[in-house]
Amino acid sequence: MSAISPSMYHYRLSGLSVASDFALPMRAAIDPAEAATPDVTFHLGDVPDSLPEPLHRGANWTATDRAFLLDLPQIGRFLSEDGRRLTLCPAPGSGLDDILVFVTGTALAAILYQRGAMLLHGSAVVQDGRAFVFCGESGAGKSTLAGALVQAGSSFLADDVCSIEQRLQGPPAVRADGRALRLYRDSIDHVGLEGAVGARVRRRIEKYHVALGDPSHAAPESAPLAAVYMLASSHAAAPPGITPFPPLVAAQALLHQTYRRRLALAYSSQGKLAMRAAMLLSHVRVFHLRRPLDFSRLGESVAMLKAHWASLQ
Amino acid sequence: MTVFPPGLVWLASYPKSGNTWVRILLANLRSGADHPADINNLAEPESVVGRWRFADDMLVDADMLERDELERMRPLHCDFAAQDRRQAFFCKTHDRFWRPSGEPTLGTQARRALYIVRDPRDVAISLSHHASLSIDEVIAQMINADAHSNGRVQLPYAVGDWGAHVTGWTEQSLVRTKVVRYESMREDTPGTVREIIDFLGGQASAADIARAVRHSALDELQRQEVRNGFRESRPGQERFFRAGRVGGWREVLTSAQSSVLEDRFAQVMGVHGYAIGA
Repeated sequence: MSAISPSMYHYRLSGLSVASDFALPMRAAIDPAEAATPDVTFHLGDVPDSLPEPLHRGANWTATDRAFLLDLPQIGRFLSEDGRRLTLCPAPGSGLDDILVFVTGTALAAILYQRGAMLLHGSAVVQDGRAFVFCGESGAGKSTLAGALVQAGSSFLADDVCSIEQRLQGPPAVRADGRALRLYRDSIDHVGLEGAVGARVRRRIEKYHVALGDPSHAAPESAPLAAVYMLASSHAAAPPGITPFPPLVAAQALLHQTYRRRLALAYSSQGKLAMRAAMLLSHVRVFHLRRPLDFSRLGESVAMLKAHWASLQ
Repeated sequence: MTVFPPGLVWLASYPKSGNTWVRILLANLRSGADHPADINNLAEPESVVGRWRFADDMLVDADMLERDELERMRPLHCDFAAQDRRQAFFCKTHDRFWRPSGEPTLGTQARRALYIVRDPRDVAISLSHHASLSIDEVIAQMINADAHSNGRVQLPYAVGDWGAHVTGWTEQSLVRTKVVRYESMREDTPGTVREIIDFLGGQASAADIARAVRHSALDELQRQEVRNGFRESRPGQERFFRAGRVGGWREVLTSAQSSVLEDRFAQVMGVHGYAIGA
């Protein structure tokens, strides 16, 4: 396969202008005139099995100081180079639309890390000009909570990857990730977003892109970070509630919720990540948000957060 | 304090067979503290069978993978994790040993495995309370070769039927495995714990073992659960740590219910000392 030039599709993702040879299931397609000199280009092409002499490696990936290669058996191989160029090589029989989620997830994260980014695994909404981030593992309910908050009047900022931009003064900013929300069918029904359902995230996985199309929901390109919440389910030993983390625990939680943590560590030392967490914590507090996972009680979580935001004024 | 050689050890069992008790015993052995280990602090976020660790190591979220894609990647992941020999690492799993395709579900590089087996008729009672299902529903699950589980914390996994789960783990020779009968642990806990420590190559005094057994006693676990709750209990579940009785099935199961399990699993039950109709 050879790359088609010039790139036909243009996006703004996590603060980067992207020119791609193939369409991405993304929210923010920008004016091509703005993208005359894109920060990053996406191509289809050949990708080797692994990188020679890697400095870091996992069971299915290798990284050098300038390149990262992810090999997903029977899905495809993904090569991110120099923070500028991403090459996708689908496995035989693999449909392009079925594997783009790995391009916009891990492979793009590698590009961002190669450019020195700080990424949290979380969703984000904006309320009254302030960004609130919800971190949690896959399945913790990040997107569902963001969807419910948007339904309750907040603007949508990010679904899964929060790029944190440190500023010389004041709190860091969260950049829009350019994605649609990604929700399971049961979440969509409970949050009341049936009318906004788009394509499946992958062909045989019951998770859908949900475009929050109402212009009143449109969020800015970035917004100052006001608080980070670590999502947890309430259970027999821990009732619902919002509690601040002590600083050391907050720093550990931020490291734990670093998006693709091992990838971050491949391009940044543990010490540097800890220093960034400390810088963030000098402006922003981190809270433990315990809430029931039942959809029928989603409203309680929204009310609990709105009350908490008022207390943070 | 008991020290174990470094490397990955599977604590494998069919659900509700005593796995959590073995984890608590090992946690108390390793802590060597004069107070019991906190049952709400056993959660191993780095568990190789958990979603967080899989995404952290493999750089993809399990919920973005189809079942066969995940099953293909898990052995690669487990074998990679098993290369870490900095410390002993115990990992609970209810995965069956073999995938239907004939490959090991969890790879082959773990240093050792303990397989805990319990009379399936007693498992049925325990599972019925745990999952809030009737005995008949639970028995249907125990004889279902395609039974699987899909939770928020653990990776989705295939359990299969009880008999194939037991034979899969106990008859393979790829990972050195010690079979531990739940009933033997109940009958002689210190003796069984000593056998486990010896198999794993650990060092412990009789006093270490006595203390760990005391700190893992059922009344201590129930005391902690009443006072603080237990994070691994299911919503609506009255108690996780129940009586754990041996032979309770004689008073609970109908003869028709026990016959379903006995007829289906007679051979495997016989191998592990569970008498039919006894």
